[in-house]
Amino acid sequence: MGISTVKTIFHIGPIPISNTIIWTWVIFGILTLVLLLLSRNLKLKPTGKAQLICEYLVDSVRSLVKTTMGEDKGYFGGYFFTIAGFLILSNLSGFLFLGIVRPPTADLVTTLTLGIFTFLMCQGFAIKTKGIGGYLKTFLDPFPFMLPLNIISEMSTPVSLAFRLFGNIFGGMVITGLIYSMIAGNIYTTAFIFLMSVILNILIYTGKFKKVLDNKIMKFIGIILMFPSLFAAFGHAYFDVFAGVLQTFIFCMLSMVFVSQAMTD
Amino acid sequence: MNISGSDLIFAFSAIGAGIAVLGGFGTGIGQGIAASKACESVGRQPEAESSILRMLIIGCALAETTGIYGLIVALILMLVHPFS
Repeated sequence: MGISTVKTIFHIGPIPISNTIIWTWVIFGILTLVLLLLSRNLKLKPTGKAQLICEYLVDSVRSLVKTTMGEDKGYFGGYFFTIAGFLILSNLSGFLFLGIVRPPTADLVTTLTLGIFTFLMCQGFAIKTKGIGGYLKTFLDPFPFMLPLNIISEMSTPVSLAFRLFGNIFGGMVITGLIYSMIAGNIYTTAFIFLMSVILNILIYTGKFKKVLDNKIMKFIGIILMFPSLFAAFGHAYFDVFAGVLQTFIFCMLSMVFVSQAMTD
Repeated sequence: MNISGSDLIFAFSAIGAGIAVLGGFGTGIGQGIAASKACESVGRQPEAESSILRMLIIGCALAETTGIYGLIVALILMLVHPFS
């Protein structure tokens, strides 16, 4: 199957560095570079397109945060903008490099880290708004003997967040890998078939090498070669683009809902 | 035909993975109920469509959790071979 696995590339001291961690840092770099390029020489009255794009992105995330968490909590926009950017890039990276680079969200390490971030934010902001006494009192909320149930329900938040994201992306990766193994055996044969069919079709429609390509057999071969890549394209479009963007949105929305719930009641 | 113990373990892991994925059954029913109620409420109150859509997506994500757990159990049984 065309599924890349998590494997240790090298060690820094006692810490093993796997390929998903390397790709995580590459995504950090891409995100930082793009946002630095977009936010160069900001002006009060914007003249270039870059600042308009930047303002649109920041504004839309902040308005989403405000409508979900409440008007006075727009300052969470920065955190959720970062999380959304990282998640969207890492989910879409499975679309580009299946079999070569594993998307970071298809590794439980990354998603559990993000889930624990949300968990810590819930606890921290709950203590900040209610005070330490009020925070401890919420664990004994309806009756004192509900304490273990309350603790379990608090602990299950990061686990369910992490497993939802991980399961969606990893399941999509496995199904796309199965499609690849169904149509061509492995990813390299599939890539070869795809490239060949694209080149053949471009040659047919631009009309170069007309003598060779104008007969019906070559056209038939070109169309037949297109079918396997159509299956793969469907798998990528559904599991990487659609599910990836949707899971990014859902992760951010659920984090916002959990944090604002912990802050209000 | 020679069947060793590890072959049996692999075969029963595959059957177990198939049973674990049946958890998606409840997820399907739950998401269907959520979508039908969302359609009803959009029909009753079309101006609240965007907030209903947001609620629907969050509800579907929460309903999906048990199905995802089943999927992860199946994937672990198939790919990690915890019993061999």
